[in-house]
Amino acid sequence: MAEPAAAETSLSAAILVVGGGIAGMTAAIEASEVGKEVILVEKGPSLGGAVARINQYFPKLCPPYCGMEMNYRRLRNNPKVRILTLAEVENISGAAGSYKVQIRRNPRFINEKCTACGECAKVCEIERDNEYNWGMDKTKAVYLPHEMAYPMRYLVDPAIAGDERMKACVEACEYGAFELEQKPVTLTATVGSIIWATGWEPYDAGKLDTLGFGKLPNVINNVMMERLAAQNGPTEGKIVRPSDGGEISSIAFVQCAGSRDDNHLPYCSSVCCMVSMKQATYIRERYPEADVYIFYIDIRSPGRLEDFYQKMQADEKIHFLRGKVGKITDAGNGDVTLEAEDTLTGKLQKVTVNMAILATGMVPATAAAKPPVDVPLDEYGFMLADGNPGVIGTGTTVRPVEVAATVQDATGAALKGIIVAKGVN
Amino acid sequence: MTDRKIGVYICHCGGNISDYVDVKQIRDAVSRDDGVVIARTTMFACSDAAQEEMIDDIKTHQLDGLVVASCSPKLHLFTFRAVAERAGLNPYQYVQVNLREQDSWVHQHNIPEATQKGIRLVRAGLAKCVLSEPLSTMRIKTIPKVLIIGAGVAGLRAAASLADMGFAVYLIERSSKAGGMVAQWGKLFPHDRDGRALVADLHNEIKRRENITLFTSAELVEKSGSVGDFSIKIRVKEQEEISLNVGSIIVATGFDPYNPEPGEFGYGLEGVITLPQFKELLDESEGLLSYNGRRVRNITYIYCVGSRQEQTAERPNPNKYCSRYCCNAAVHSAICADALDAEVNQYHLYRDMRTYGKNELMYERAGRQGSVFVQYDESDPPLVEKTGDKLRVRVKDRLIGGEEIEIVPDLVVLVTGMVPRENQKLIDVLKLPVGRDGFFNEIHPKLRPVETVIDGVFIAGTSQGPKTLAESVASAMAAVAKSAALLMKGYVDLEPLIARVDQQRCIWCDACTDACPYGAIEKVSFEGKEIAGVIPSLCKGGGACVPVCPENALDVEGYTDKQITAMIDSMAGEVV
Repeated sequence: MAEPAAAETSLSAAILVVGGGIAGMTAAIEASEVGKEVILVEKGPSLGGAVARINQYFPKLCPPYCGMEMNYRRLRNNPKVRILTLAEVENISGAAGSYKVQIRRNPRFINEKCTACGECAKVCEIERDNEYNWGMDKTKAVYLPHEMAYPMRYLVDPAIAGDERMKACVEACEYGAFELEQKPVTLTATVGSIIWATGWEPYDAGKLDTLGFGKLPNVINNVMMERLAAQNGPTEGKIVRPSDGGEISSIAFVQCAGSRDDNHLPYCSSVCCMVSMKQATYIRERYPEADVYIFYIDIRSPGRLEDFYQKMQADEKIHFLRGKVGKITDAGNGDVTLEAEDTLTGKLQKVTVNMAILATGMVPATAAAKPPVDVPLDEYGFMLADGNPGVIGTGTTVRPVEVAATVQDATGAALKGIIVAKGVN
Repeated sequence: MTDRKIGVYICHCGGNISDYVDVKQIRDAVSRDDGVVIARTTMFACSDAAQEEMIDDIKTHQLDGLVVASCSPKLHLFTFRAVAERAGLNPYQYVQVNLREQDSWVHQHNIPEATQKGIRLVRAGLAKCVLSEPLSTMRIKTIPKVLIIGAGVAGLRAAASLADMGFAVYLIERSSKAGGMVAQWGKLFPHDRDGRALVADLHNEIKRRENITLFTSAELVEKSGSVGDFSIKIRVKEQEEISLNVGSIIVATGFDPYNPEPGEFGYGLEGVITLPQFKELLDESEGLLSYNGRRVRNITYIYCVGSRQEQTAERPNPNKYCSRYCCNAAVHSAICADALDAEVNQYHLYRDMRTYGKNELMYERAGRQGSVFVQYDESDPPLVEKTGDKLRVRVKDRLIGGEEIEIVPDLVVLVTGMVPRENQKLIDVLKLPVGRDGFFNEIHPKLRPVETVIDGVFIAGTSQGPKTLAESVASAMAAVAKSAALLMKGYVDLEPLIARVDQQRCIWCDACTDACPYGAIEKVSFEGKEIAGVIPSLCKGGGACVPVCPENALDVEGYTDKQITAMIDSMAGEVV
């Protein structure tokens, strides 16, 4: 892989891939391994997307590092992929077979001389919220996005780049890697087809106004839970209560938090049942005595994953309660009480636990950031397949899916991209 | 004493290794070992700067061996082989030691002992490197043709796409007609497109392309050769045999619908039918629904028939998996039935409603249209009986506290799942691994989702496991992309790490041929006697032949007995 030099203002390739998560990386790698030139654009400072924030994933519950590293290796060995991080697609013109794309590259303020030694961050006095950990901790103003970052390079928070105190960091760098005067650059790319893989965001749990998210500190969502369980998360993998750092003796998962709900997301996000059951194993591992309650409507463990559900059902510490949680209230001492009508008994069920996890669903990133090109989206923001032959949506841009299905889909998307771009490079 | 000149690099991996293993101590320990000319630690051995440093060292000190102690060879074996190559060193004289997965990550609580283990691991790597020999890869020209087995939607779509990429395609279908399951169905979820029309369109697409040859009533009977250059034989219409050469093979043999046992939920009684049979009924109905001449006013669906089964004495090999498509297809069928007759009453007896993703909207719609959903417990399944000429279904509704309700339907639809197809002959010919559930297995669900352990053989569609139509097509496209990536280059390089025969020692006892799962050993003659010969393009270097040889005449290049013994000796030696 090669990162275009800062001075380069025009590029051309057969395929533009937008989004550097697992879908975008897969599409870019697969297309390039068929021999096509690819430009891969990522808005954030690193590739990896949502998968890089997972603690463990299905089906073997392994950490995502090795998979990520293998994809990074394939990218690194491939001169046909040009990677642009901190870059956004601003404008697209043309049609299938020949597009002109305007891409804005935002400054990183640190050049490729950076070795990720970290001396700059040691002396940095300014802190910022760490979005990688969903704001549950801080990083310095000059920071590495995360340990599995690609490129493995620090960057400076643009809001702080002008601060006088950055001087100390610049002086701490032995390699002359700081360029605080960097400005955004716009470049133009000519491509034959576009693969859109901008992924998803968790549904805003704050909109579920009776469930306490944002008001009760010990009500968090499932993506935060993933970070809490991760060795490189805000608590170094200790799952503790955000309010007081306390250990857990009981925890509840709220399925379909905002999903399968006409007032929020009418669709099912496909993965949240499996995610909660997986997170239940994190708890079982660290707190063998703890009780885990899972409130659900239907448990959706499609395909071969049914096996996992059967294992969970056999675990006497995991309690499946059928019913949709209507209310979560403060029970004192940081504990929370969940109320749900048990649809099996018809009775109102109340369970008080140390902490509650809202299993929120997926919202396609395209719902808020519509691609600047004529491509139809459905009413929830998912891109319609075959809506525009030259712009191919893949992964969670098209429907809520898990990682394995995303990889298959993205490999197929690479092929569609190649066929549309036939004759280009 | 060796006259080898070896460079050793111990990687911090950012801290992944050095937080738990004292890398400097390892370096100091091995720096005076026999053959070691250079020993260094490095923050990230895989970084460009570190690679340049290695290349520089190799050239300056004329190194003839390289050891990098870092992560798993799965990750960076090829990275450092390339480093060796760029520096003019034979890549097979590079040895990777795994200090991360095999040491630091698993011994985070005992730094001194993890460090001792690290020293032993590196010394074993050194011992192997000292005995390494230069080897070279073997290049095979690939044939730009693909065999696709199975002409259902997955196979048809794959054929059209491969043809568009410029490859010749042989598409073989066991039955007498292309189209598979979908050709038997009318409206499909979620888009209401007609299955028969969809297949007809695809069929036209296939005909339009000159480089696709479709054989129906055809089977694959023989396969030899290896990735990029397979020789295959297909038998057409039980008589004619055709020999062909292809570069890759895509298996898209599909699924069979689960066929209920007689008596399973009343199967066998008049009016108890499976979901595919019901779909056929729906597709053929114009106007009101009727079955055997009688109008259908009440339909009861029983879900999870043949799926999500538990192991019992009577059922030692249950279908544990969920078949993914059936909840969606059943709910969609209810919507179709409602469109024919809005008065029809529909009861759905389900376990968990799995209309995942946007299919949830179909479920919601069916409910709005009057479908009644009753949850049953798998330990207390619905009972289907016939009294007089009436079907009766009794079920305990979990949602009203397990109270028993009785339904008198005109039709009971068993929502049957998918089972793997009977394919033993094909499995034998291709030597493809199947999973516990009988579907074909991929190498890795996330990293290599359509590849199999047989290089050049890919899987697609429901032959891999239950899938919806959209999922099936996505995997077919993925298999095409992988085939194209393989064949586009025009050649493949095969690893030289394969078995070799000591021609003097071999007495041709034939034990190795039986041990080899790849059929890579053949009888050859040597100096007037018969001995074993290794077919390089088939041998995978698995080594199964080595221990069964009574004469010790077999070795695997890169993993010779001598090397392995030397590694064990160094690993077991004193750590000074």
